[in-house]
Amino acid sequence: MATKKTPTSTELLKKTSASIEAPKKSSDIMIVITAAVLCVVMIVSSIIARTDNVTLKTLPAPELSEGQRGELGIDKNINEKNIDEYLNRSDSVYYDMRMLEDPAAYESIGGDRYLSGFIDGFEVIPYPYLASVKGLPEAVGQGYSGDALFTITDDGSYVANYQESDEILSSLFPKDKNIFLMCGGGGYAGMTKNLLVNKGWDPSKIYNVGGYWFYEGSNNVKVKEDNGTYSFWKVPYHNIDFNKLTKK
Amino acid sequence: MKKSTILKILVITIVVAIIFAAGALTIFWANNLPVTLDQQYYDHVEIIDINKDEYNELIADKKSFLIMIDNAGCTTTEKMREMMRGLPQQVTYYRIFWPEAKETNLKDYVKYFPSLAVVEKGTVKYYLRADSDDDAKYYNNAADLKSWLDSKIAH
Repeated sequence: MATKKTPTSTELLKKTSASIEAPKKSSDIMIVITAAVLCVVMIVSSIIARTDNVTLKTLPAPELSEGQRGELGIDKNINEKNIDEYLNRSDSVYYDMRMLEDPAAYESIGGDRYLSGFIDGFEVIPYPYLASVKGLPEAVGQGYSGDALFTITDDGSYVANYQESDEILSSLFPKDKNIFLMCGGGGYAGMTKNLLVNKGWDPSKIYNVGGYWFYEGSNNVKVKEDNGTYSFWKVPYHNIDFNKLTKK
Repeated sequence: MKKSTILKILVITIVVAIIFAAGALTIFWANNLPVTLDQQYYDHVEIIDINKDEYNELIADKKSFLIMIDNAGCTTTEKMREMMRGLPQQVTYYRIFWPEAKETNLKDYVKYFPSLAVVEKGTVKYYLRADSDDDAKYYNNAADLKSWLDSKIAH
């Protein structure tokens, strides 16, 4: 009959320490693994957030607003009321089509000839530099009548005035991107969309988001300061030096 | 139930229905009546530019008037301005620019310029909506705009 050997105190001590050591080692390993996994998760999520490939929402197709705003081409789904939800997309460009200083004397009818503010994320490229503007009210006198990349003919087509006109347009408005346009009330933005569509851009990628005057979101950049001065240095502005271009 | 009782109930129901219908029609009719402006606006014809303080004063004084909500430096308002200039001028009207207008009670009604608003005794009664298909014709055609004005302002 086999008898159970009673362990000595030394054996007991060894056994005890071994049984204690084993779980301690595995818990250390678990902590290290957990920390490593957390680090990897954080790094990956920060990379995803930076590239925003995952966070980009699908854009609703351009759809005209009702009434006179629709006639100007202002979008029903993306406009002054919700443009904040669509800013800073890597697949889009954003342009405000107003001039920094309009030569028309809007003061004569109680207005302001200077750009008083814009939405952060929009760059300013004046529509009158892209194509000739017609039909300003008599009271404001002569508007911008200087050089423009294109002239609108009586049949509504656009004739390039410079050899570089088409290239500049393509550079400013990449065809593979969504194009968000705005101005003061939606008029210049609508004219820009007409120009682009006429020149072969895909209308389903161009949004006239309306006018800065109706914007009440949280990305407003004030250019006209409270003391009445203008901080034009704040404006990301595209100038076109027509003297450097080649006339057709 | 007796026939006479049924008849009485029927008559009472019809009378009550007629009273309610007449009341509703009267309210509807009263709400759509053209506004008689204060006499001073009929005396001569002028376009008067005002700011928000002047507008608020008119509202506080319970005036009845016509006002155009405009914005300078914007191509979108040119057509309405032109149509208003071309119409046979029958009343003096005010013009206020959007930055001022949106700091008044006009902002509760008019969401986009350009627009016209008829104010009756200090309350905006009628106005044009630039974001409404129903009002689109008034923005495009001088004759339609005139008919709108004629239907909203008593002459």
